[in-house]
Amino acid sequence: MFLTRSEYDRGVNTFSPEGRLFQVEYAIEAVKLGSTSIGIKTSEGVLLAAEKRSTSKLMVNDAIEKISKVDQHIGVTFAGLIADSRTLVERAQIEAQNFWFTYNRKIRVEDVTQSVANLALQFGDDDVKASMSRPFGVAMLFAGVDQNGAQLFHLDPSGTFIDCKAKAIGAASDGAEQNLKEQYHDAITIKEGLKMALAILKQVMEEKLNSANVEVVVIKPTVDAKQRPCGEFTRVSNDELDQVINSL
Amino acid sequence: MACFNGITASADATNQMHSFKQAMREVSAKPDWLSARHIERQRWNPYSMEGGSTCAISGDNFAIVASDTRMTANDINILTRDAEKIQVLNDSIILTTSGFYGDVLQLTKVLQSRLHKYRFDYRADMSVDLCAELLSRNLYYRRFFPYYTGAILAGIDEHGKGAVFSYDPIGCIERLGYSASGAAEPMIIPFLDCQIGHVTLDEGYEKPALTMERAISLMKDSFRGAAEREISTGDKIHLVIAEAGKPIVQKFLPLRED
Repeated sequence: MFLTRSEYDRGVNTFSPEGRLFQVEYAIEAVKLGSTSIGIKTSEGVLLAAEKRSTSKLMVNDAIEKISKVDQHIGVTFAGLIADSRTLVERAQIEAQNFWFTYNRKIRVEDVTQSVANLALQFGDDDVKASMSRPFGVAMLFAGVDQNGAQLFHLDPSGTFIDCKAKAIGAASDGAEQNLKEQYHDAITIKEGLKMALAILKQVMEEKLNSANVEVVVIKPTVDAKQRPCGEFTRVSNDELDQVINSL
Repeated sequence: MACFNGITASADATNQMHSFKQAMREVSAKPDWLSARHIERQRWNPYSMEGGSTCAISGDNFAIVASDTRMTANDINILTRDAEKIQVLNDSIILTTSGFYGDVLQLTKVLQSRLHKYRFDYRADMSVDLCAELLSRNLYYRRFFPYYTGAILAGIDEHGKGAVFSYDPIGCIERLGYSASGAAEPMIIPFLDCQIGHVTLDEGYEKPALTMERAISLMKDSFRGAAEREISTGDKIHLVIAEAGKPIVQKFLPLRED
């Protein structure tokens, strides 16, 4: 199927006669090379779980960060070319700080996602305006709690973002998402969500699941100093992870 | 030879004339009798004050804002009797400013454009709480060449309550029940302290509730009192009333024109 594309997949902003941008589509394929991440919106907050795939015995697993903190109330996980995600995560962090500085309020999850989506589209092969010469090869899951409650957004390399209840990205995203569809319900608790996420990761991961090769962040609703609804970003400790993993 | 002497003589005369002119310039620019205070006073001033007063009162579910419409130069010379000092920024935000009118116009434009962009960026109207913080930042950005304005931001906040935010020229922000700014500020504030703040009322006495009708009549009284005693305040009261869940109402009421 790739043979027919050879003419139109050189320039990053050249449409094929069928109206497709192949480089963007290839970037979406690049996401599927990354390790799996799952986000689940629950009735008590939102959680992100990510596989940390170690390619060698000699690698230090703790040094890998698959879930980054954007602000006190927002976290983000990503799949694909991890180096590309650094630029996008930094934009998210700057945008969140900038909003807080200007308006003295925490930014909404949707607005952070929107601004990163804007950056994700700023690619091109002219070296004047574009900051990136190719599409970013990462998909991201933004999770957080803001004035509208728990929020989960999925952003792909085309700059499209979608409000989700639960979502999986990365290598085993298709299988994981099938499981999420079967198991998800609106009244799910954080505890059930955590168990569900780890059970799904256990199923789809090639390695054996343990607390060292998985990373989990929970964002629970709280209130800020002015009694406005906000979130609290917490990493789930290895002990807690071990407990859940052993109960699977 | 004679010819040569002639040239030297005329060159001397030119030099003398030149140094004479130089000395005249120096003495007229900085004469001996001009003290440091005189020089300071003569310096060009980027600011001017156009007088006038503004005031805002907030209640449980309303906020009312008023200003006079007179604009003066040096307090005496009336430039216009229809100056706009209140800007309705959106359905829940009202900005009122006194001070240097050039800065008032600029500040208004800056806020209007920020609100306009906010609508596109965040797909919602800005609330008065956010606008209050934004204005504070914007004023402080000009920390060392400030907008010479006494700004008051009023409106209905996210909980449907009346809000009044008061500022100094460099962005110190405070949320108050009522506030005044401009030439008659020293006359309006004590009046409102007495009538709304009840600072003179002993504890045992019943304090009348602040209804919208009472707030409006206090506002009118404030400006009528100010127009009697303060020369740069007068002509008309521009009254803007914001009530939760209702559209903003604007009124003009006559004041002394002398």
